[in-house]
Amino acid sequence: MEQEPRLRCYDCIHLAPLDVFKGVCHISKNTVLADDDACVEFEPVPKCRFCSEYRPISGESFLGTCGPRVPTYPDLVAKTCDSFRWREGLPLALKPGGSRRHH
Amino acid sequence: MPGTEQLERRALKELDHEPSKGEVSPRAKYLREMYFDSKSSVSMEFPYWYTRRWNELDGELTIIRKAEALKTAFSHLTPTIFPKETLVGGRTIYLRGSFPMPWVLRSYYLKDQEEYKKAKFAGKVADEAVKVAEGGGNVTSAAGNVSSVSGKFGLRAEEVPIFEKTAGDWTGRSVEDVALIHERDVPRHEEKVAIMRNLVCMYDSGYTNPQGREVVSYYYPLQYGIDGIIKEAQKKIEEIAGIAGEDPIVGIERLYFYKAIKTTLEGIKKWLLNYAEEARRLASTEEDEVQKSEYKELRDRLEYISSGPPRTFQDALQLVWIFHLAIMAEDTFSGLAPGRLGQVLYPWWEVDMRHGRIDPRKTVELLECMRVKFTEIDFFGSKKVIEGIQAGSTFNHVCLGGLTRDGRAAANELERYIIEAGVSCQTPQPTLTVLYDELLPEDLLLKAIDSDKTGVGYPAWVNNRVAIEYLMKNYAEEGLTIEEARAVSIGGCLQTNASTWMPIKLDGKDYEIPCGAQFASDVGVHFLNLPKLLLLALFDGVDPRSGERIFPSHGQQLSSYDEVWNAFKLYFDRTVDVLIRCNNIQHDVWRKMNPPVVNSLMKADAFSSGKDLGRMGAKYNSSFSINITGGVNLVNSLASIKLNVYDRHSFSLEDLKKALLGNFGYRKAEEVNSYSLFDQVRESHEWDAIHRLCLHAPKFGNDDPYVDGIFKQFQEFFRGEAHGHRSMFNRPLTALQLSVTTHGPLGAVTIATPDGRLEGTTFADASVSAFPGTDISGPYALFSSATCFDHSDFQCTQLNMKIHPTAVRGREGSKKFLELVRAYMRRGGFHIQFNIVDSKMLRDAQAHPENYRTLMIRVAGFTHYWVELPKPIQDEIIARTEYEGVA
Repeated sequence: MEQEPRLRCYDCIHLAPLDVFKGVCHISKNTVLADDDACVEFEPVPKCRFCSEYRPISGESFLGTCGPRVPTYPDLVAKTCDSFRWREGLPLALKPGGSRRHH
Repeated sequence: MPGTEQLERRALKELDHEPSKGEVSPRAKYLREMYFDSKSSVSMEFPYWYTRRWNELDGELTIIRKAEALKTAFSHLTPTIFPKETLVGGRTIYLRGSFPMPWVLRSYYLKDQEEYKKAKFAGKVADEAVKVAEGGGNVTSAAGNVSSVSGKFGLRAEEVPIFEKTAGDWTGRSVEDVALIHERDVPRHEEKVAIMRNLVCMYDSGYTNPQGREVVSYYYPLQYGIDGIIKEAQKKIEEIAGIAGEDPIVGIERLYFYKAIKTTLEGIKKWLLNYAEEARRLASTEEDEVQKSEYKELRDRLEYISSGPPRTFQDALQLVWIFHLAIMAEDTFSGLAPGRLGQVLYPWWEVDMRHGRIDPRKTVELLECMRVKFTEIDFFGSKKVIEGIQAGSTFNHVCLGGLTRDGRAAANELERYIIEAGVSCQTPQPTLTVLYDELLPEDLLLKAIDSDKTGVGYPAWVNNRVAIEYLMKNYAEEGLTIEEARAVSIGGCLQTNASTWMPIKLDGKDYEIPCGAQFASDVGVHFLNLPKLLLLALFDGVDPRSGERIFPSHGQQLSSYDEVWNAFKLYFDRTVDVLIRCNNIQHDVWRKMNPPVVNSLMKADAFSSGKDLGRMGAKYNSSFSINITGGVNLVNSLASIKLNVYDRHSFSLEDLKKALLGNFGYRKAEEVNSYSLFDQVRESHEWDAIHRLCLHAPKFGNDDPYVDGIFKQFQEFFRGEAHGHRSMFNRPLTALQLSVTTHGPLGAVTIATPDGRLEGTTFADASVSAFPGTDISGPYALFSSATCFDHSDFQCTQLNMKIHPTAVRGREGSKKFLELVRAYMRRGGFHIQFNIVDSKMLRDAQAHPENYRTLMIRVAGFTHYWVELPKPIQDEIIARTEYEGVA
């Protein structure tokens, strides 16, 4: 199991992003900053970096591959990707339905 | 019987009557507040998926490859739905999002400084001249996890590497890269490079803005629905696969075209279904019952229109919106106009009204929400294009009125609600224009006047008769009839578009809707810096600002006015000749490497002919043009030279040139941070006498035959130049004149001019507006000057007027205002638009932008938020003559 990460609204499925800085939270209906700490309602949005197909590239923080070769980037939202599969070993909070509320 | 006192009170009330701004619906108000709170943001989702699929299909036919790339990108866009939205869909995951299209254009956002320098050396970079507005939704500098691109767009740190990688991926295979290789074969190419480097011309339209300034045809989605079009495309495929037909060159290609349409539509269908799924997900977690039920309704609607044709007004509006976004996703678009949307959507609205499914309140609320959606559109580009040309506007133009095919007034009830929504929910997009005809009902016209009087800057007024005459002059050879010319609408900020009528069958009734039918406009040579061309003539081919020789010596002694005029004409012709040849190559490369697919479906007759727009699939194709900026400064300068140097011998040409180089003794505009003639600082009195004579020479806009004669002479020359050059479609160019906001940056790179204008200050706006402060003889004198030539020989002759609100106060004021518009139209003026605003308030808004986030102002063919306008344009608007009376 990976270490429990810092959870941000940026990674939360309830965030409807207004812009690169902030979005509307569908739960609270408030505007929240994307980089704010997430609340207890946090649920992860599927992203490449949570996917079993994602492979980081050594030395690159924000580039990786989808499978062995196809370039991608870790924060690409993968809600609409048919190949997306939650990665094994994700911290509890980053599992679907795994918000802190349910801990 | 009312008493005298009562009558007086009523009369006074009547006199003071001012149009109400109306109450925006709570829903639209909430959504608009979200917009105000949002910053321009870049998302890499679309370009990532597009590039990924493109790279997988190496070796495939280009149009199929592009369609597959579009399908993959549409299918993977993350659907974002905001609370209270009833009309959904965005260009990106963000509310105010956009994305780069490096397959078209990539050089300007390269991180690699060496490559940037190379681009600059090749004459492609004009960003230095462009000021970016610092307020509103612009991200002008980096903050936290966000970088700023082009001084306007925010990009998250997490996406910077993929942004750079994707741009790099297209090195050597973007439209821009390939076009710039092949255009080098044009003779005098080094002259072209010098022209662009010195901003004698603003930009290369072939790879910067290859499509746009055009009217959409929503016919196929509205009449057939997505599955219906896919079925039609399949029928066509079976009919023509392997058959050359009448055109052996493109006959077989029709197969690939229809396959591309089918593939792309599959992507759009999935896009809608992804939104439907998101609505379902939101409904499942929503606790508020009203919102939950709205999400469910959304889901049902989106699911339905992902296959079938619209049943209701709201279905139709949603489908129009998603296809509008889809067109803009395939190219570096600006100026995509919904056209006569109130007439296009009327059948669905009428049926809803008949069946009691909608009422006026609901209609206005939906139209308000539509306004917010159109305002959310952002367009990613370089500073030069986004701020230098467009000042951040996206030009989604909606027209009202005009005529039916058989010459009756075409205005309808829905258009009245469109005006109402524009007043109650004031947003820059879509901007509105009345296609003025004498047959239009007075109540509609007064409603439009009331909208103008609120200070919102729309509707503008276009002379329907002149527009039709223009179309007949330019498109009759392609088969345009007078009946079809009546379908005219405006694309971009002011471009007259040839359109057509398409049949709609709904609820057992037949309708006819006006639909776009021509290739993009405002493509070709754009924008020529006319005052600089005159200076080049005066300085024998050398740009006095940079000291660089651009043209060989013209060989004229300039011992007479005619020699000055001839030298100007010579350089104008050389410029157009080399630029149009380069531009034709750019556009040809564009059509080969980035053939338009979605837009071809959305334009009569491309789908029925099986030819994309690059292969002349549109019904009308005579839309390439030469566009000019600073025409009034050119003409005023010629008048000053003629009078002072040659008629009266007040000073010599050599003395004038020295005075121009010395900026008439003033400091430069940039140094004093003022771009109009206001607030300038004089350093020397050496040139005072010459400057005074230059300022006092006759000025356009005062019904003065001396200068108006020169204006007319220039217009005749300009028209002849345009018609003497040909586009890649081998059609004559048209003469187009509007500045948009190029009068800011092009003025910034031009030294003082013989009309008394100072170095770096903004040129006169539009094309028949007077230079700010020089029209001192009243509005009707301005009208006489502006109409001293036939506007129907030109695209976009544009007049901006600023009127103090007290001049049009009350009902009487409204009537006088309408008479003013009528007077201009009856004299043959093509277009007029108004700022009903107090200049003192604008000065305060400049000093305290934080108090004016919602203030909108008319610029040149569009309305925009004051705080998002660059300072040189703000200065020019403040300096415009403010009319205090209109009688």
